[in-house]
Amino acid sequence: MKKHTLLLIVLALSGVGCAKSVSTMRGMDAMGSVEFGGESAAEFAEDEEYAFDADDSAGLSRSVMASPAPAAPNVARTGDPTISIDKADASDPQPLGVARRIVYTAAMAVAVFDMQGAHDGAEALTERHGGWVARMDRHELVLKIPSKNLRAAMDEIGEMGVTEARTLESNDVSDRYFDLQTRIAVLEKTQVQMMALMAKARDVTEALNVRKSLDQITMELEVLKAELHKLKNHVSFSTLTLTLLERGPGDAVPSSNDPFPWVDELGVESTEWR
Amino acid sequence: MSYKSTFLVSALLALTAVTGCSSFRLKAPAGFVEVENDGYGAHMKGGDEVGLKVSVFENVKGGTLAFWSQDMVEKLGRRGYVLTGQTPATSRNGVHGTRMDFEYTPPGKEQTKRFYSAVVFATDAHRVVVQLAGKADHFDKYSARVDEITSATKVRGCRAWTKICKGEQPGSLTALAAAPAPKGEAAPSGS
Repeated sequence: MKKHTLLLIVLALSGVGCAKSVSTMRGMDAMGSVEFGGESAAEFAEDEEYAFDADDSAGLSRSVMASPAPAAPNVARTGDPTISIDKADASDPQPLGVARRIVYTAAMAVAVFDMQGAHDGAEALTERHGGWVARMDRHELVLKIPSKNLRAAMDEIGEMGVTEARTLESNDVSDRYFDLQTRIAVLEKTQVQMMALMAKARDVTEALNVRKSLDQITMELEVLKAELHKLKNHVSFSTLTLTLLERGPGDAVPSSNDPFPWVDELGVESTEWR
Repeated sequence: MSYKSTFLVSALLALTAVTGCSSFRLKAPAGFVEVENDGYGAHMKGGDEVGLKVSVFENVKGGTLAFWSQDMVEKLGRRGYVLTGQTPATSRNGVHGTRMDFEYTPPGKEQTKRFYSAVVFATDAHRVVVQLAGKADHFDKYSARVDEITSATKVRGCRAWTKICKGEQPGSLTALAAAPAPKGEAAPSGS
């Protein structure tokens, strides 16, 4: 009986010990999510304030220039709102609810009896769809067509004659697109901070140093913005290369998998004399 | 076998071979000049840039007049041809055919409406298509000539023991012409 009582007491005590250890671990987890290596976010923000001395700020901006992507955590540590974007991007490069950015490149080869008519038709069709002719010669046209109208335009071009080849390639540039957006957001934020620092400069040397860094940031920002603009254009306007093949009356051009393409050789174009 | 019999058989075989090679026979009608004619096809030029063309294709088992007529209307319909008339036709040697009249506007800014009349004959060996095409303004002038040219054309390739050459006419093909016209520049403006 005494042995049993002793055993029960030992078990009860060990159970308390286990409960304590669990609660301690939970506490550590909670702390870890709030603090950065033992320092609070507020303390970090203060540290950053001191780090933006005239001499150091140039170094910071240089690191941003050299590797813009790692700069994001620096900004993030100050409590900048971009932290949420950056963290979201790191875990999921394709934010939910955001459409993919695809660059479409298409090519078609169409056999026609009337080359000039097909040329005119392709030009008119491109303009009607809100695009433009990028390059043109007798047998080939490079058309820029709004991506949303590309399929419809290809179908219409296919009706001009017999489609001998039709290809469509897509290039997913979503990662590059969102990466550029993020880098621009980060640099813009840094630019604002640098401007604030310049206002606080105590002498001309400090102001010049900050100005130098600011110029570098502005320059990279413009480069990235130009790249993003170019990428947006590529996404918005697809490139369609149309090759026109002259179709003579004797040319038996097969259309799709029709076992009897005899009608391709018939019609006004092959009968009438012009 | 005597010399006479051998000669007769050889002559018959030679005659069969010669006539068998040619799938049709049509002399250039009045007002047309022959550009080419090799027995497997012919192309002639009329005034007003109207063209007369005879195209020949091999026939296949089961290929009847009704089948090929329907096939032609359907495929030309997809290219923007609008069927405006369908009548039975007969060749000079009694082969049944079907005449189909179409209207069509080729793609292009300055293209005008054209007429296209095609008479399809189906024999055991061939499909023979007699075609006339030109500007739509000339259709009235040439419409009667289509029948005249058809009845002057000899179509060959019939076997005595089949009924392909006396095939039935297709049903009304008008409904097929109502198929949606192609989109874009290829759409016939006159339809």
